[in-house]
Parts: sequence; structure tokens; C-alpha cells
Amino acid sequence: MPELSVSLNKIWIHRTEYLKVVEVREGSRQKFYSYTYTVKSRMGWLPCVRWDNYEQQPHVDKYDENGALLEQRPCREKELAEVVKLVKIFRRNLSAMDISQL
Amino acid sequence: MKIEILKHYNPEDVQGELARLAARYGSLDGLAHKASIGKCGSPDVVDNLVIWQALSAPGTDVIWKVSFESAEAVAKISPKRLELLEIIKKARIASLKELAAAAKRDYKNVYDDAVALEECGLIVLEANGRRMRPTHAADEMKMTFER
Repeated sequence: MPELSVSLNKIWIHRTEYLKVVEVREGSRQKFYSYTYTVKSRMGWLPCVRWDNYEQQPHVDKYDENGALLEQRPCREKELAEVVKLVKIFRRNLSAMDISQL
Repeated sequence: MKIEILKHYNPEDVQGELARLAARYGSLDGLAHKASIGKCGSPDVVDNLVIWQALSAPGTDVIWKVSFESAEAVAKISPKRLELLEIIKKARIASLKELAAAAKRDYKNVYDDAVALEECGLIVLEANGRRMRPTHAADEMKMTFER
């Protein structure tokens, strides 16, 4: 059985924004990913948008200004480079975007 | 510009991470139950469940990274904070008071820097009675200028 590898990554986009990354690989196969764009608010650090494939169901989640789940949509599998690019371009505007575009 | 600070977990780090998860959630089954109820409502629960399951398998390789994607973000790690990381890496520091003494700096400033380093994800502050023990400093640092 191929060995598991876990990658935990905190990517700082700005002083008050980061992308939390969890990736689990089994050999060369990506078993799980989650990319959570997190922002600092008056309430502390809160998730804003998250892409993950938990239970093999790739989807995107959008959270409100209190960090509560607002909306969820299935989407195609995402790669880290693609998500980093998206987050760096749109940053906090992601929260105002149509979730189907993400 | 991109700066990456990396750490490869050794077996002691893996055990430490498992202990932290157990202290926070009780049991893996309990966490799995919590994840099945909350799912995407609490992203940390799902992430920690997946991490706990992966770390429970023997021989799992773990790499932990903190990356800074802009010069603005890099400002979070000042030379004094980098010096603290080096001290934590070199010596087994038992408390922030000991860290301040090793750095020959004022305790309050060292405390503030340690909290900022923890927020960055560069250290873990473990509660040890009334003391806070800084652990988990990185192994290497990479700087890349992107085209």
C-alpha cells in the first residue's frame, strides 16, 4: 500500500488574509484537499471561501461575515496553483462573487 | 517574491500533533461524529479529522509549510522574530521567560513576538501549567524570485 503524505500549508496573501491548505496524498494520488481562504475580521480569523473534496465530492463553500456557512456548490476538482491564483487576484472580493464562478 | 518556511515532521512531532488533537476533540470517533453532523459548517473539524486519520497510519510523511506570497505579508516576520525561531530550533526552550532570557530581550516584547509567530503558523505555544512552551520551529527557509 502506498505511503500517505500530508502537506499542511499556510499561505499568507496579505497581513490579514491567508489560505489554509491541507493535502493528503496516497503515493501520487491526491486523496484529499482543502483550500480555505481565511480573513481577519473584528471577530478574529474567519473562513471566507473554501474548496475541498471531502468524501470525494469536490465543492466550494462560501461563508458569511460571521464565519457561518452561507452557500455550497459542487465544482470540479481544484489544484492549489489555480486556487492561489484566484485568491491573489480577487482576494476579499471573492465573498461578493457568484459561487458558481468559483 | 515568495518565501517558504518548511518543517518535516519527525515521529515526536507526529505524536505531539496527535496529542493536541486528542486533547481538543477527545477521540477520533467523536471527531468523525462531529464532522458528520457539522460537515462544511466547521472547516477545521473536517480538516482535523482528515489529518488525524492520516497521522494514525504508520509511516505517514508530514510536511508543514508557511509561505508568504507578497512583500507585505513577509513583513510579519521581522529579523527579531527570525532570531526567536532560531533559538527555539537550537535549544529546548521550556517557557517564554526562558526564551526572553536566551534572546536577551524584554519578556513583554518576546511574548508579543511569540504570539505573532504562532498566528503566522511558525511556532506552536503549548500550555504547560501556567507556562507557554514554544515548539515546532522550522527546518529550512527558501526564497524564490518569480519571473
